[in-house]
Amino acid sequence: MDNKNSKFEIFSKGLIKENPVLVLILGMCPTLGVTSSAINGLGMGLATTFVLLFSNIIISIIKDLIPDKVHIPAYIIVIASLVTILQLLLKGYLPALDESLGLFIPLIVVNCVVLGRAEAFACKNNVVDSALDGLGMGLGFALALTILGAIREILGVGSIFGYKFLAGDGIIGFVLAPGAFIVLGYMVAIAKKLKK
Amino acid sequence: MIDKKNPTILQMVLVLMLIAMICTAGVAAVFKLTEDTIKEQAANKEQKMLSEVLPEHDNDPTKDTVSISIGNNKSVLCYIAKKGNETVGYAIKANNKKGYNGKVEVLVGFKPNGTIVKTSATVLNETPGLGSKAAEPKFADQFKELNPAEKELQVTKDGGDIDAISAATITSRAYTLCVATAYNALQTYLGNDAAKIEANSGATSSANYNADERAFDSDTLQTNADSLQQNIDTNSVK
Repeated sequence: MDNKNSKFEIFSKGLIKENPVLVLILGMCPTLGVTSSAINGLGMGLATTFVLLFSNIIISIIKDLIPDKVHIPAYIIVIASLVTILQLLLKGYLPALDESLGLFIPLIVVNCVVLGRAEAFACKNNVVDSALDGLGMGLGFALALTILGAIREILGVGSIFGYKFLAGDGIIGFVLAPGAFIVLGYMVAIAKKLKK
Repeated sequence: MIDKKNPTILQMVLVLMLIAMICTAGVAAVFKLTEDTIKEQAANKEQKMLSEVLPEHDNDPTKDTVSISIGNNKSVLCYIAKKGNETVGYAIKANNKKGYNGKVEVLVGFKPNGTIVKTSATVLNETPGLGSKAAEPKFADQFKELNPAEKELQVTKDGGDIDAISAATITSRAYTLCVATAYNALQTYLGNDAAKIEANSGATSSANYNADERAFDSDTLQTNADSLQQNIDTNSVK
C-alpha cells in the first residue's frame, strides 16, 4: 500500500469501518441523549469533531514530553481546556445550539471517543496522521448522530432538520429515551451486517 | 530530557504544571475574547423576549426594572415598558419548580389594566414532545388578550379556563401557576385594591393546589404506615 492510500485509510476508517458509535460503541451518553432531532445530532457531532481534531493534534505534539505515569491527567487537562474553549465559542457565536445541547457540551470531556483516540492513536502517531484520525473519527461520530437524530425526528415529530412535512404528532416514543435505544440498536445491527 | 518510562516525581510535577498553565492561559484568552459577545448575546435574547411580550414601547425595559416581593422571601423581576412618559406595559418573569422536570419560568407581558399581552417560556426543560408543547402557540396563545380578573387562571381539570396540554397536565399547571404568580405580583406592585381581591383568589386557588398535594402526600404516608403495621403484625405472628 503506498503512502497516499494509507493516509486516506486513516481518515476514512472512522467513517464506516471503525465508526466510533456503530462499531466501537463509544460515546453512548451524548449519542442517546442529544439525538432527539437531526440538527442536535449534527451539532453535537461537529462539536465533538472540533475537540477530537485539536486534542489529537495537541496530544501527538506533546506525547514525547509526557511521562507515562501521568499521561491520563495530562490528556484530560488538554481535552477539558478544549471543551471549555468550545463552550465559550458556542455561547458567543451559536447561542441557539449551545442552549439545545446544554449539559452535553461539558460532558464531551468524558466522552470516551476523545480520550480513546488520544490513547489508542494520537500518542503513537505523528501530527498529520493524528489530525486525520481525529477528523475521520469525529465526522464518523457526527454522521452516526445525524442519521440517528434524523430517524428519531422523522418518526417522532414528522419533520426533518426542523422542516415539518407531516401534520400532527408523530410517534412520541421515538423522541423519548426508548426511541434512542431502539433506533441505535437497529443501526448497529445494520452496520454489523454491512461490514461482513 | 524526560525519561518516559521512569520519571522522577519532580519531572512529573513539572510536566503537569506546565501543561496546566498553558491550558489555563488558553482558556483565559478565549474567555476574554468571547466575554463581550456572550454578554451581548444574552442581552439581545432578553431584549427580543421582552419585545415579544410587551406592547409597543420606546424605552429600554431591561434598564427599567423593579423587584416585587411575593412573600416567602421570594421576589420577581418586573420590566416596565414606557412610550414617552406613559407606562404602556409590564413584563414579569415568574417561576416555580412544579414542572415535570423542575423549574419552569415564564415571562408574562401585561397591559396596565392587567390584561395579558403574551406569555413566553424562558426556562422550560419539559419532556420533548409532551411538556415541551407548552412553548407552542396552541397552548401559550390561550393567555393572549386574557384578563385574569375575568377568567379562572387554572387548568380545566382544576376548574379553571385553561386547556391543559394532553398528557402534560403537570407542565400546564406549572406554566399556568407562573402566569398567576406574575399577575398577583403585578397587582401587588400596582397596589390596586379592587384587582387585589382577584389576585388573592388566584393565590388561594394555588394554595388549594398545594394543600391538595400535601393531602395526597399524607395519604401515601398513611398507606405506608398501614402496610408497615401489617408487616409487623405478620412478623409477630410468625
